[in-house]
Amino acid sequence: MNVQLKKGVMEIVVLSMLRRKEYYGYELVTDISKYIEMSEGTIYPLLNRFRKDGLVETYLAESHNGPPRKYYRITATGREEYEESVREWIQFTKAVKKLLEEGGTPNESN
Amino acid sequence: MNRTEFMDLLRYYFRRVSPSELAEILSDYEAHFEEGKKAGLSEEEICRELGSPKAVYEMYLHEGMIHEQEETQAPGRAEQLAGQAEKLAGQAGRLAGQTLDRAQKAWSESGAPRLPGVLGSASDLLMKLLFCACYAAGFLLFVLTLFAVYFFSGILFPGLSWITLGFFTGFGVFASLALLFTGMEIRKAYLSRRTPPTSGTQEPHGGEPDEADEEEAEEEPEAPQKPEILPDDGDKPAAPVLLIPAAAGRK
Repeated sequence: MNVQLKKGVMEIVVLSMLRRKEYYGYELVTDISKYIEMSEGTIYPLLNRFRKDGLVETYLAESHNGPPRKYYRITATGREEYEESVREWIQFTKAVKKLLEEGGTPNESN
Repeated sequence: MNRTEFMDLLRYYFRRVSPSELAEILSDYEAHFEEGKKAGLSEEEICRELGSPKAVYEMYLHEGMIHEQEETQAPGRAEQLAGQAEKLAGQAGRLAGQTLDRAQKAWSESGAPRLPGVLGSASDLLMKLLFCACYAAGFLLFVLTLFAVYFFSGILFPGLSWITLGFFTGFGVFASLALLFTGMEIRKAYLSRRTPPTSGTQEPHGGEPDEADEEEAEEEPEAPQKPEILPDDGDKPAAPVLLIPAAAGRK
């Protein structure tokens, strides 16, 4: 899958995951890469930007073995942002689907 | 690629980012490696999953998350310091010591671990100046004492008591020895800085100055300047061991 395409989708995917559960970095990254093939390292910049923009917040929690983990938790702003992004995404995919069906394959349209 | 290589590459790409930002960025990836290790993955596997450090850097740029400083800032300061140090070369070790302190301060303030080349050579130069000055001063004091004792006793004050003379000679000799030993210590530190700690073959160089006398003090200034010269006074197999890390350090 195209890298640029994925970059846009990743934002909505990360927010969606955090909406259901609080993740620590490694857990979130590996969970996403189970479904979408990508460079795991590029999730961290995204998470840091979310934190800067106030979409997520972080806290440290002890782990049973090893040093404390940095957990990410979605904020109210983050939820709003997610709803908004989902609306846009649905609109966008609908439009693309329509274009692909009507304009994308001229041989079959007639 | 292993963990160290991955982190080093990150450090390279983020070299213009402030030290505190850099530390925060790196901590995420250190933690990732730790978790991956606990999950039973090898460093190579984790690196493969993480993707390239360059992609990480580009993503940070893309997200507008990093603020790069002008790269010229810190090296400019180091060059200034090196220039100053050269001007001070004729002056006493006290001034050189002050400059060394300032160089070290600049070193720690500018997030220096990322700029070992320029700042490293500046402090190398200062250390070299210091130990040369110590050798020269020690030697000079020694000769002066001998001369003074000779003149005082024989020509100027023939009646001077031998106790006074003894004290005077003792003071002169011990002071000059103290200077020489100080010079040796600085030189030892200087050589160990230039020599990677891994190569055991370089140990003899540290112990060598035990027999330091005036002749060696005069030859010394040139010897440590070029790494190519050092292997000559060691044994032959030492040469490649020394040259490779030295070349890598310059890069």
